Amino acid sequence: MSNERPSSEKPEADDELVVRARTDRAAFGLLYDRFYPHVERYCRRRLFDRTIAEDVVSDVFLQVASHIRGFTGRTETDFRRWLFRIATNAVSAHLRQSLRRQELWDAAAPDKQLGRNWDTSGGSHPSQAGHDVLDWPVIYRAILELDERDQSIVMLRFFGDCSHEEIAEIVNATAGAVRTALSRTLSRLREKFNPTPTATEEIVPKG
Amino acid sequence: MSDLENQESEFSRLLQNVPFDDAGGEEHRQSLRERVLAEFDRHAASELAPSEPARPWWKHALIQGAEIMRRPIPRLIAVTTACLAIAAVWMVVPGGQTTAQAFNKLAAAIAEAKSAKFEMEVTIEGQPKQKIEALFLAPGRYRQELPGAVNIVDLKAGKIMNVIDSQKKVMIMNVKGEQKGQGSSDYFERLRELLAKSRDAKDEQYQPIGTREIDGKQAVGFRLDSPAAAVTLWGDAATGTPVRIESLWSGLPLTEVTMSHFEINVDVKESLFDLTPPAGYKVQSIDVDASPYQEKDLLAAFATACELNEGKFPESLDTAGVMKLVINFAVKKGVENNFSDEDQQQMMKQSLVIGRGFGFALQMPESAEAHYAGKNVKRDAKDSPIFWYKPAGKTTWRVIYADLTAKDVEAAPQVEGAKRLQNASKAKKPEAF
Repeated sequence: MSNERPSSEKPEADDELVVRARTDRAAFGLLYDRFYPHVERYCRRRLFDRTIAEDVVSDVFLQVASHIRGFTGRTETDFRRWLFRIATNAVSAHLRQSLRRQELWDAAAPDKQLGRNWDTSGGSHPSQAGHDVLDWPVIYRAILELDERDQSIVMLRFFGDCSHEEIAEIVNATAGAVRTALSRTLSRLREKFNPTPTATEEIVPKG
Repeated sequence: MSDLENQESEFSRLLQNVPFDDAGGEEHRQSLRERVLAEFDRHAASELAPSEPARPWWKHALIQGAEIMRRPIPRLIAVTTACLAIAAVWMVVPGGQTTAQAFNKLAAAIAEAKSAKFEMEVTIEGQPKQKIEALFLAPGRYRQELPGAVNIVDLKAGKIMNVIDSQKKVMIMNVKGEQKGQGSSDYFERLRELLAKSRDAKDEQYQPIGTREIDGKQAVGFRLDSPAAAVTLWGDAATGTPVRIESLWSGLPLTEVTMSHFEINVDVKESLFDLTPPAGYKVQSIDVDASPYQEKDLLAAFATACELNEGKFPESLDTAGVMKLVINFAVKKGVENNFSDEDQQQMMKQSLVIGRGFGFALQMPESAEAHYAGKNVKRDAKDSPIFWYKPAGKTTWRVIYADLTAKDVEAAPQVEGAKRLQNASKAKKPEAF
């Protein structure tokens, strides 16, 4: 996996649209249409519950509408970074409320246990490799156990389609620190899903 | 393929096989679109309305702090605006000699001056030049008017009131620890004598710098270099009154102040110095320590800076170094969402602590040979020297370590990358953007 955005569908740059959207209603509407699916997906993955996620998405775009005139970026990348920073802060603010966190925790597969095998077959389908397929509630619950910053990093990378550099700017860290945190976090997750790996289940680094 | 790429690929494969329920959402997207566009329209309309109060400068800066810090020109704006949190206080209470106090001495030195009007041009590092109309009324009262704001200073009452009309806010600063009974005559009485005697001045502190025509008057000039400020005085030799006073002040932020167009003993209304906040304005207050800087202030400043900077010392003891701390801290607090008045006040307090401490370091005389070596040093790096100087009259060096202990040692530490500090007499003038 390169440091490009994980998604193969990289949005077409439209810097002019971003600049126009500061003062042009129609351009702002187009920008909304373009980015709503990305933000909705990110918030939905991070918050698990669709209704809660939609509330946060609403908050995010209302903030964007309020502040777009003062936004100083000139490129789509700038806007994207700004947008996901707002989204990440909004999600984090929501998660900081322990009651809500508990609700999400309970909602995320209360009866499911971690410890199922992570697919280590190097590309084959887990079921083909003879492992159980993990479902999202189980993964989500494991991610929810991470600290807030690590949650943000993992989610931005895999559901926000952000590069390491973009994540670094969003969480206010260096790209190196993001890579280190991401590696550590993925290792931890792997251990959670596969707590007692045997020698044959170890990942063999490729190329 | 790196280890991280392997890990990411593996996790991506895992997610690819996870069934997600992504149903729905279209209805929400459509309804939210209408609300969002309505919000866009509302802000567009409010921007056009002349009565709508502008977004507070500090909030604008902090909201966009992280974004701003990546670009050269906006970065200057960020520094400019965030700087004001410190500068607004510094300009009236820099911990020692203030512009207001300096003029107090000037006024006291000019026989029988009971009131005065003059203009100030203030250039704070990284900020646009500001023009201020200033009024003086004995004893020790000042009024500074600048676009959108008024500062009223009453040194006797120990209060400074900053009124921001655009935000309907008042900040009251209660000045504590000011030296009482301090003579106010020596510095500017000398000025008067020097101006009267023209080039015959013998005081070693003053260097005659010749004559120049300023505002249609033939003025004689003298320069005074002190650790606190480098001051150039231009006065009318015939009358002994000042024509222009140019000063470059040490400390944070580096500030140049030019006073001119003096009118002495003119009518100035008492009511202009009233410290009663305007009705309907929100009032905040803060205590400001105006006692002389001490080493303990520098220790407190380092401790505060480390708190703002995840346990690390600032990169440099200058405006840029401090602003980076403040803005990063504000951004980490999630100012996009909520940066309250309380947050602002807290930031102001922290800025004051840092300003005092760094002022101690930056206003040392050249002979102190002050050095800073805190860049990239963490607070827990116990034995690392981060700052050292030679106290006046001593042969030993005073060294402050990363754990914020201080010791007297025989020789100055040798640390790679240590930077020698410069006070105003050596510093470049601040650049406005």
